[in-house]
Amino acid sequence: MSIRIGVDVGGTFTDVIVFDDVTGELKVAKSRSTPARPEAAVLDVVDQVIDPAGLASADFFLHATTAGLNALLQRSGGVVGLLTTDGFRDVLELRRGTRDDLYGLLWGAPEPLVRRRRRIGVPERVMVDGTVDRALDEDSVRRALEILRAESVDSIAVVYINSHANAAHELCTEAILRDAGFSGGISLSHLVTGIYGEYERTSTTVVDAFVRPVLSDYLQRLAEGLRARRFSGGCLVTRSGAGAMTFAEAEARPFETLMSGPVAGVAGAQQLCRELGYSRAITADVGGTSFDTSLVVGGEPRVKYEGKVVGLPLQTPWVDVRSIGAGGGSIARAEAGLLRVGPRSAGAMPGPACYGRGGSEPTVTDAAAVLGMLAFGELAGGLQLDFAASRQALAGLGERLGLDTDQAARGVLTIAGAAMAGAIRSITIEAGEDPREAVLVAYGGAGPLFGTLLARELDIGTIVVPVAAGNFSAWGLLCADMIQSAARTAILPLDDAGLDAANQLLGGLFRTIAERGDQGADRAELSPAPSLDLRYVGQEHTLTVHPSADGERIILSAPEVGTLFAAEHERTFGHRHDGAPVEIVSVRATARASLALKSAPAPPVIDGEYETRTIDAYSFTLGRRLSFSVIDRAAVGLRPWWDGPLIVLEETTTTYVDHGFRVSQGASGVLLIKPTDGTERLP
Amino acid sequence: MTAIEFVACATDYASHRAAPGTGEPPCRGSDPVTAEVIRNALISISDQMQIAIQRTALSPVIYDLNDCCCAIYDRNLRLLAQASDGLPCFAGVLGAAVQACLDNCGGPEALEPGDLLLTTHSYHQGSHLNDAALVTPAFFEGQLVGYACSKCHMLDVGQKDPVVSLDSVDLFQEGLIVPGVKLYRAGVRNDDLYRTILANSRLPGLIAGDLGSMIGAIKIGAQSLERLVGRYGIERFRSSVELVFGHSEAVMRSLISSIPDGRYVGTGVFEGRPAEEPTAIELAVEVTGSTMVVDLTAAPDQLPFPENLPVPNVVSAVRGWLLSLIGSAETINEGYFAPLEIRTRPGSMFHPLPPAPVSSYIFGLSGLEGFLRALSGVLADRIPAQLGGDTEDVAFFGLSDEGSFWATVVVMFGGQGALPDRDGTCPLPFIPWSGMRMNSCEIMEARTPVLVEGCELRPDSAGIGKFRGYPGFTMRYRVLRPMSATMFLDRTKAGAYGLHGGGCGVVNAGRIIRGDQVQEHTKSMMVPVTQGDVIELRLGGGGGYGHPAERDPAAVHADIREGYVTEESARRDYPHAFPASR
Repeated sequence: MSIRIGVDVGGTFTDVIVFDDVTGELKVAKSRSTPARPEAAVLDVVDQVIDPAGLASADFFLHATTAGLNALLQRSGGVVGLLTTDGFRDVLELRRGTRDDLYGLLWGAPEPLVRRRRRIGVPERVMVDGTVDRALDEDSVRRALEILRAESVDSIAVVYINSHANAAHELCTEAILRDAGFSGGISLSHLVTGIYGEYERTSTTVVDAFVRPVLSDYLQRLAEGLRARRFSGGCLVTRSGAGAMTFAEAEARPFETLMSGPVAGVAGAQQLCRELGYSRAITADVGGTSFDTSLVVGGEPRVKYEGKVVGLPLQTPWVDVRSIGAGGGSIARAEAGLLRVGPRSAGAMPGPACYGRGGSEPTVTDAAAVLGMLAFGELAGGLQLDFAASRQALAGLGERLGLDTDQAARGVLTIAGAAMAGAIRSITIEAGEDPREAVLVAYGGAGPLFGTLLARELDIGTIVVPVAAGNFSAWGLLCADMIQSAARTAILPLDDAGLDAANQLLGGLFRTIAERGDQGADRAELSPAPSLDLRYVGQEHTLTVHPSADGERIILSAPEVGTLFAAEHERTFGHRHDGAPVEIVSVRATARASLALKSAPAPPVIDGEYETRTIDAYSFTLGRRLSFSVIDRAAVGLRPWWDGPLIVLEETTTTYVDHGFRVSQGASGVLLIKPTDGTERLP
Repeated sequence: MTAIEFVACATDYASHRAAPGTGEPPCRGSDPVTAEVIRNALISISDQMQIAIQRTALSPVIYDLNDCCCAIYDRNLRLLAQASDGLPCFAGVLGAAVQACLDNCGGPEALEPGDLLLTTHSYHQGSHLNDAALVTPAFFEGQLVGYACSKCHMLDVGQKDPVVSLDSVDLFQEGLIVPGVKLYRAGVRNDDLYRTILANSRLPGLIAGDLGSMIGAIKIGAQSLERLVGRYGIERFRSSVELVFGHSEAVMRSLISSIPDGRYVGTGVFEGRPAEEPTAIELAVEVTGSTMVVDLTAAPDQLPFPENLPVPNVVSAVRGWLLSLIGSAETINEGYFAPLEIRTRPGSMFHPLPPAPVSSYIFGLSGLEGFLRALSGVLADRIPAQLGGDTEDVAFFGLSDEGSFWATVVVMFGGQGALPDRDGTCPLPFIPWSGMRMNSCEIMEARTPVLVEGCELRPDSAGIGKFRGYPGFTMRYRVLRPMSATMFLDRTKAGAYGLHGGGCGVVNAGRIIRGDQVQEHTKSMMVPVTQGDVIELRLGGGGGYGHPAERDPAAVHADIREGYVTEESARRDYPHAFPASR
């Protein structure tokens, strides 16, 4: 037995997936989320799907949680005190002077997470080169603690200027707080991010301190519940920056879990790329309210190192998942002669008109229903979509624009598809990639509906629809590697001396990772990977390069690293500055332990006779309605391939294969869809 | 109206109206779906250009302060889309630059694929000579289909004083004038010209790097525009663009229609020489149905100092403020501007004639804020009180040990004015400068020999009211080695105005502290400073909104607790919050 359990807690539902990677057996279940005590739904859904003996023998419990994110959204985190360098306590509130809405005359910043009276300056100052301009006034730290105690703070964030260059004062402050008996959480900025930029680092450290008590409580209660059920395997949480970390590390670095939701699907796509041998993939995850896309190159997702959550900047590794408001529930409307789609969504309630829950506005799903793309609209449990309601909603929209019902429905799909293609273009072009050289991995409830539309729009040669595509994010949890990282800003010239210094720093960062404790190292071997953020002297933005390394040490010479950087710069930005000096800005240490699955889930199969049905549906390739074959997913393997037009039905999603494409069963149980124009291209 | 010097441009600068239609039959070959798809594609192209520049520019002014914009125009020089996060100050400003480049290079007939046209001329691109505009044509099947262009701030263009001139008497003192020339002809660079441009800068390396970054961006823009036109065909593309413009115009007309008809007069305050009193500049906003006329003809005569505002920038700044009344404005195009007409008087500071100096035009811009004030009565629920400082700057510069010139510009904003329903929330720039970022102290210290001693709020610096402004803050820079500093502060004599009974904010102030000596500075060029000197800026607070007697007493006490106001001033300003002491 080698069982993994993945649990993805969403806003509405908690999804579980259990996979035995010896037998290939896959089980899924769903339960309504319980936001007040999320662990209740998690444990409940686990009990539903796996028996006590199975749970006791399982190897891993892998989790994606929105506990931290919800604490931020609802402002329900801990009471935080902030210690800063004297003179800098208002950095958090002064921000950088930008508006989230550029022309928003009435825009206002969100309240800072720490009220001003709980932000206290401490006399101390480190210069940019690490030398001390003013020694730490230790008594001030003790006096500040008295004030913060009177304010009943749960945790304390410590952010001193230039602590990336010399962390002694932050470390000393922690020791003083502990000596004085403070037992709450302490977040030190150089450990949280280690990257310069005082506003962004303060914001990140404060967020860490804010979600710490909530996440820590939650993970402890969940772990207790699992132990009480005699589960003895490893407990892991996915990170915003890809991979998973142990519960223990998540409690120590809670901000790293904030955006773990959309990342799980990307991990699943990564695993597929490895299994199927694709070097470049674009993910297309279409849910109810949004379209999320990301890029996997050379088996790795694109990672950026800063982002924003509810208007608060975070310096943390971050899988670059772009989201636009175009999902199955997005509402279409007429506005001054143009047809507009989203970003407003009908959500789960009332949902699209065809759900029959009181929705009457036309959504993307209604448009697909009108065009026949959802075939007969049969749902599990004998439920039936209300296509008449969809037609009525679309007819009303069409009238306002002088379009008939079909034209309006086509328009909604075309505009939503074009917006998705635009998001894919921007994410690929920014990375210097060409979408035509990638496969498209389509998942989420509505992703496989859009596969051939997007492939046509972007001239993509292969679409992959994974097994259980509607639940693919939960599946992705099971595919995560264990990853830990640490980073530090250190501005050094890119010469051999600078590289030596960087290697020394890397050694220290890898030790930091090792000292974080619970590695799960008894289960898997950690392999180190150093990387460098580089730029031309004078530039601000950096590019991360991954030079060849022998373990923790970079073994390339400075000129070799420079060549690597120039090539990456040219690929990403279209030009290079040969002869311009290059500098190291930050060093990054990543340690990874592979938890690779030993097998893929077995695709469903049908024995014996199978009868296909047909339905009249719209073809975007031909621009008219024609007869589409309709088959069950389990039937795909009955033939070497099926030519479109075709609709493939399964429990969690519907795959629309337009005329001009053909579908076949691929390895790992996926559907492979390719154009039939004879110019089949291998990515 | 006096006759107006005609600046040829698609945006008709005789009346400063948006470009008219082309006379092509509307809508043929398009539909509401294709038009929406094309609208999104155009936005995406301009955004990609902006991303390319921000990621690759060498100058912090561009990548950190965002002093740049990218746009695409159709062959009739109508704005197709401008990058979503480009400065509102540059809303549609590049049309004039494209027109000037064409006029000076033989017109559209003389264009070939791979041509890159450059102008830095203030009267072409609207602002100081530091702003370089680069343009490239886009072709489809041999036909000109439009232009991709970009404008970026170059840190040094050989002006008489490093970084910025505060006392230039004409344009010739303000740097190298590049009057619309082909920097590249059919993909081949004119090396003689290129070297001449670099040779005229104290920071040639930055110019080379930033130009490279702009070239990369406008190439992406032109290629993407060519692909888009190729995909839909020229006819369908053009008729779709008409539908897109029609949509945007309808959105703007519906906004203007929501303002009752009338002539609204407002006053902006302009600070000129440090020794002079501020000048009040009156302007009028006339609303008739769905059209708006902004009348700037009462502006003072053009100045012998560099605070004049070239016409293209006057037009784009007013457009930016108008768009801010919509809030959440979508990415702009020519259609939004159709219902707006702007009247100026040639020879005035809002319509200077060359070679009047314009180097510090940003201070002139503050004089246009009467636009919001004019409408603040009729749109009481949509217009906040004034910001404490629009953009308050210091430039540090000097020579490195190796003898090379370096410069760093820091930008700061005053506190936000109170909103109609809440207190001001943080420091912000005025709308034309929205999107600019204040510097990070740590990033600045990593490349500039100064040490930031602190940046803390100034209690009692915001305007009082039912809702108070956001306070200003104090910034202190300790100098670590000999260098020069140029300070340029605004709103140093009259604080940010309050609205509907709200009080004024405290003014901006600057000083240099050397031991016991303290010198006050507001606009001072090239002040030599040395190790240990402290340059201190005290930023102003935003104005208040509504009468202070209506302020919630709990909010007054919270402000005391958090240190935004002192108890002493609270007792004076909000006596109703202290009933026991009455």
